[in-house]
Amino acid sequence: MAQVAETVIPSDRPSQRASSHRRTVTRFKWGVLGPFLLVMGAVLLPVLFVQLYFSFHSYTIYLGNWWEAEFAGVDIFRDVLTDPRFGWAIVRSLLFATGSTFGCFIIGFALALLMYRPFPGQAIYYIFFILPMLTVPIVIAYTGEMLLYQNGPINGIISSVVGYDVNTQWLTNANLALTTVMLMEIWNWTPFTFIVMMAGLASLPREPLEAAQVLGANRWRIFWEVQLPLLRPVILLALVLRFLEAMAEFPKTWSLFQGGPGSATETVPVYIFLTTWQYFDISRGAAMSYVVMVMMIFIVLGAIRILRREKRTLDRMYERGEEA
Amino acid sequence: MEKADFKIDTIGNYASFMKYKGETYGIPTDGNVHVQFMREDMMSDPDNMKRFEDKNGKPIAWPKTWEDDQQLMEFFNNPDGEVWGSANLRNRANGVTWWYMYFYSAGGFPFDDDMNPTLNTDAGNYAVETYLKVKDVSHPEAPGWGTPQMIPRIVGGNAFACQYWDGIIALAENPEKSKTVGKWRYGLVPGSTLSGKQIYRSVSSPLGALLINRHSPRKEQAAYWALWMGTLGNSAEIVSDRANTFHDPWHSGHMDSEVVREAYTPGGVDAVATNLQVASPPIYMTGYLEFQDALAKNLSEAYVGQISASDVLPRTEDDWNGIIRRTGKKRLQDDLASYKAVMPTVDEPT
Repeated sequence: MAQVAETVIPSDRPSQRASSHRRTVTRFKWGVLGPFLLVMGAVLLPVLFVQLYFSFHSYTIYLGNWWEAEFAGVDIFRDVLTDPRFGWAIVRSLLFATGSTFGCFIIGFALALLMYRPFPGQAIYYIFFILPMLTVPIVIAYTGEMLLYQNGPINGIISSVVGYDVNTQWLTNANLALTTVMLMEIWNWTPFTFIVMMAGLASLPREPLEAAQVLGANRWRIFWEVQLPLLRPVILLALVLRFLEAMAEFPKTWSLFQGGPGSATETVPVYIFLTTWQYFDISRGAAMSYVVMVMMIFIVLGAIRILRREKRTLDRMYERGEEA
Repeated sequence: MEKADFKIDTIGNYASFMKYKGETYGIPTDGNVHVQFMREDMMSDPDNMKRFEDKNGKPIAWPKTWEDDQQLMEFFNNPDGEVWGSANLRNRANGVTWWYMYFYSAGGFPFDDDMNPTLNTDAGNYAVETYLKVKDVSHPEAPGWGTPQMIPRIVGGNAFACQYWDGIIALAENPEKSKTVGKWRYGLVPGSTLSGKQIYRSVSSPLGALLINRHSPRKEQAAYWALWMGTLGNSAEIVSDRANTFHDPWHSGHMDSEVVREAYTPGGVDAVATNLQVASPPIYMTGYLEFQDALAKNLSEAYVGQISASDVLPRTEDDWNGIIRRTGKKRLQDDLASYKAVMPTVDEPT
């Protein structure tokens, strides 16, 4: 009998099929992203370079032609980074973005938990919950303004609920103004978090949930110990995307407050708008924009790192499940 | 203008608002100037007259100073009756327009000849104090109100007095839109004696004018058209149209024009003519918006309690020094002559 040579394949070397699959996925990714990246590059890169030019050259529009602007080195960046007004604008933006992100997340996730299992009339509720996101922000601002006057309907409703006169100055109290626009932002963008979390909940594998039910876990334990850990990457994605969007909020803040009362709502977008389009200090506005962009890049990189770690954890969990 | 033998025929020194470094750049379309509005029906009520005289030891009279104005506003301030003493704007974007009146009438000017800010002076501090005192007689939501919120309250009868843009006269006297037709008296804004003499200063901001784009392929034709629009006949039609424009009287001939006097009432037109004689500009230099916003921000912060009144002007001067540094002192010194040329040439209107 001829001896058949045994070929031992090391367990850590990927199979041909797995390699082929990986190549196909990579080609698909580039096939989908490629055109988008090309367009982004063609449109965005020139703008970024011009902005970089302005950041290093002193230019305001009443100083002549932009190509004749004087080279300023890092002076403009130094001015921006030592400007207390810019620092406070960043603090306000961070407070605003953090508050509105968590507000949107808590309400959006709660609504998604109520809605993700099918029930009669679900589609109608879905449409109602989405509507705020489809409303133009400036319409939300002006409608909100009328509702939030001191003797307006909101104070009226609160007064009738609590049983005494409530005269909160939502629009003119410097300590409340940022919260007011934050509440409008939460109303406007909760549907976004709702949609993301609905998708996340719908895509959860059923086996772990069914296994937990069979083992006698109650709904709270299933949510806390099974669903929530599996949803961590989706939650992180929803938080990061919302946070980035909230940092850039401008229409509601500007149309309602123009940075006031006092400087209570002078966030980063408001200050950059004032600097670039009212003071016409193009260079300073460009430098501020770059500083904020770098800040956002670091936040996103941190989030991507956490997301990758979450993904690895989930992958290991699934591999262990398959082996079992 | 020379070729067409055209002169900008305005009240007082107003034509100089169209000039920069001696050259004319625009033809006016809008004589925006603040006018004093006071509720004549409330002032001439016999009960009010007696109570005021008993309380203050003098009869009700047209205010000559900002202090008189404050006293009258305090007397007629009635929040329970939904009538507020003042309808002056105090939001961040617009409130600073009033500060200029207080400051200039106290003898102040924002810069010295070396382009150093001269805000933190007696005149500047007087202006800040006068600005902030109005809070006692203003609606609590005034820090957030612009003209869309304030105008309905003026014409709806919820205010006793204000200095306001003269265009509102036409609205306040429009029976279709106002509940206070015939109840207002219009006149000269108050002044100040802080400098040792009585000085009145109204303010003209913003301005509407026709300018020709230097890149226009038909500059001359456009310029002739602008001059034509600035003639008495055409401009009277524009400023007396209550429905389609917000433009206000500016031409000398407007003051006697029948259509303008009908739209603004004879008393309103006379008030416009009086205040135009002492109309002053905002910061009439390169970087105007930046200078103004720095001042506006600090004033607004003091108004809502974020900083103290005594911090307003030192902080503003610091901000202004930064602006001067960035813009260039030499450039701004060149602008100073144009700024001074726009200021009124009389302290009291004739």
